[in-house]
Amino acid sequence: MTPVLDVRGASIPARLRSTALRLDAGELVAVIGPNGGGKTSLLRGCSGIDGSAESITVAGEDLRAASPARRSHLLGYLPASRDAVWPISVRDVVALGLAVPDARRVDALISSLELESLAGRAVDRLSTGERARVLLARVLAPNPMVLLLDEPLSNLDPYWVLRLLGLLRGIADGGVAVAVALHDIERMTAFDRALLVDGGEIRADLSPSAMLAGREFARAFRIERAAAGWRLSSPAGRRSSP
Amino acid sequence: MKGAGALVGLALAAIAAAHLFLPLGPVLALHRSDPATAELLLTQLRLPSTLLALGYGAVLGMSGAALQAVFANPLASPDITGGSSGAALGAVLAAYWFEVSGPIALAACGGAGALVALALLLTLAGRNAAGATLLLAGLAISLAAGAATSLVLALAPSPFAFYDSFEWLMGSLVDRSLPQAATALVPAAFCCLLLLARSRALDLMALGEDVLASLGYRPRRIAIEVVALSAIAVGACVSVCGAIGFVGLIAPYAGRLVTRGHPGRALLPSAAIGGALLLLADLAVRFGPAGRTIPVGVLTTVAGTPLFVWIVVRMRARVAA
Repeated sequence: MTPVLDVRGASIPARLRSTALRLDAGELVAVIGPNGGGKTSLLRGCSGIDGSAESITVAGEDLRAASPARRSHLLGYLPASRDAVWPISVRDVVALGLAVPDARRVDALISSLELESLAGRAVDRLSTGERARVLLARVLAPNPMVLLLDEPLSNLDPYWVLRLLGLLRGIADGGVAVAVALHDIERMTAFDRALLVDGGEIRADLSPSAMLAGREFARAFRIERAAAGWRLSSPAGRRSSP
Repeated sequence: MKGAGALVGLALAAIAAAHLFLPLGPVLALHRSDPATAELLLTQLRLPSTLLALGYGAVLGMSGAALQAVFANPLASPDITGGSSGAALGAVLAAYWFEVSGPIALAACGGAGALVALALLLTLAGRNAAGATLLLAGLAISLAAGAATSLVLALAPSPFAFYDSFEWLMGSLVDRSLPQAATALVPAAFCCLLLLARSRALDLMALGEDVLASLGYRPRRIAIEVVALSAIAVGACVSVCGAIGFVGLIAPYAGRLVTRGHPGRALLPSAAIGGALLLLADLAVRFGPAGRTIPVGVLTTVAGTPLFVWIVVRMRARVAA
């Protein structure tokens, strides 16, 4: 099976070592790693935002040679930042995701993310969690074949964490490759595959259950399983400090 | 949308016509006694000033809107970021020290001065600076450029430098010729067209630079292009008319009200509003005390300051919220 996203030799000086990444259609992939380990750099490098890459293709098409309108159908990138400066309405922000206006698509996204009551409000006056949903709707709007989402679940209340995981699963089932940078490792079990990013490279690429049990995971995060949840790993098991 | 555009065009034409013909009394009186001179008054004296008011106002509105989009900051106008004062310094330096007298060369020096000021702002504050940082850096640059302009005039070889540049420094549209107007407005119009070509990218910049880059645009290059185009457009106008304050701040603010907050789509409405504002301000100045000319820049600054304070207060409220 040919991957939907095929990235070769993506690197960002001092942040991401030369990395290859392949995502298949229908895959829901968790990207985990300690703070500063390179999760965001991996997603940015694979989106062609920063650094350089030998090749980035989506369904065989060269991403970086595509026009902006075409690119929005190939790959959608959601940054972790929720900043909004301008008083643009929620509906208009979602519509910004579309190169060609499509009011029905905007309506559908507004209803699936339950933004109806906010649709006319200015996005810079919303709470961070509300803004997170609006910005997600923007990246979903053009139906991209690949979604690279940086921390889409942070700032959300538990209802929305579960709703979004369900929504992303539905999108992946529709043939989209979805990679999600995660902070909450407990959520990893909802994914098909997990990538551990640390020190600017992919350290492990396993199923979520194998990842949680693996040594790389314990070493990168410096924690281990305890009776109820997690505890700091014993000094011997921790990574020796450089 | 087309209808609204036509309506705005008509309103702008009406304001421009008012600027050209009012006050009507002297023109009509002259026309009865000496039609040829009346015609000359209109085409050689009033027309350049009407074109400059419309064009310079439009340049201030559009470049203000573009700079605000790039800096993601509603306070980033050509004057408050130091661009206009830099242009004034460039033109004064060229005119009084290097004896540059050709209008095109002067316009180029104005553009260079604005470019240096805006480049300095980019390095001092950075493009993603918080509102206050940008404001302080811009303030420092305009104060320094203002002081340097005074110094250049004080030490100029000509003892009358201060006296004969005062009106120009304050921003004035009177007694300009058609070739002078062309020197300012032809390069400015060219830059404005290039700015307009970037309006979709500036709209998307509202989603953040990473999103813009993920769509294949180059945010850093767009920012540099916008800064350079704005500097050239404003610099050319400043070299002919002096620095005119606050139009570049107010017009984009009003322009974004028209486009419901979209910063890139606001370029054209901001230009129309800027043109209308400067025409009206210059018209108002004509009805001042007889025998005295109030530089139009003084009026725009006096009228614009309260709005500036209001935007600052609103920004402070949002930061606190």
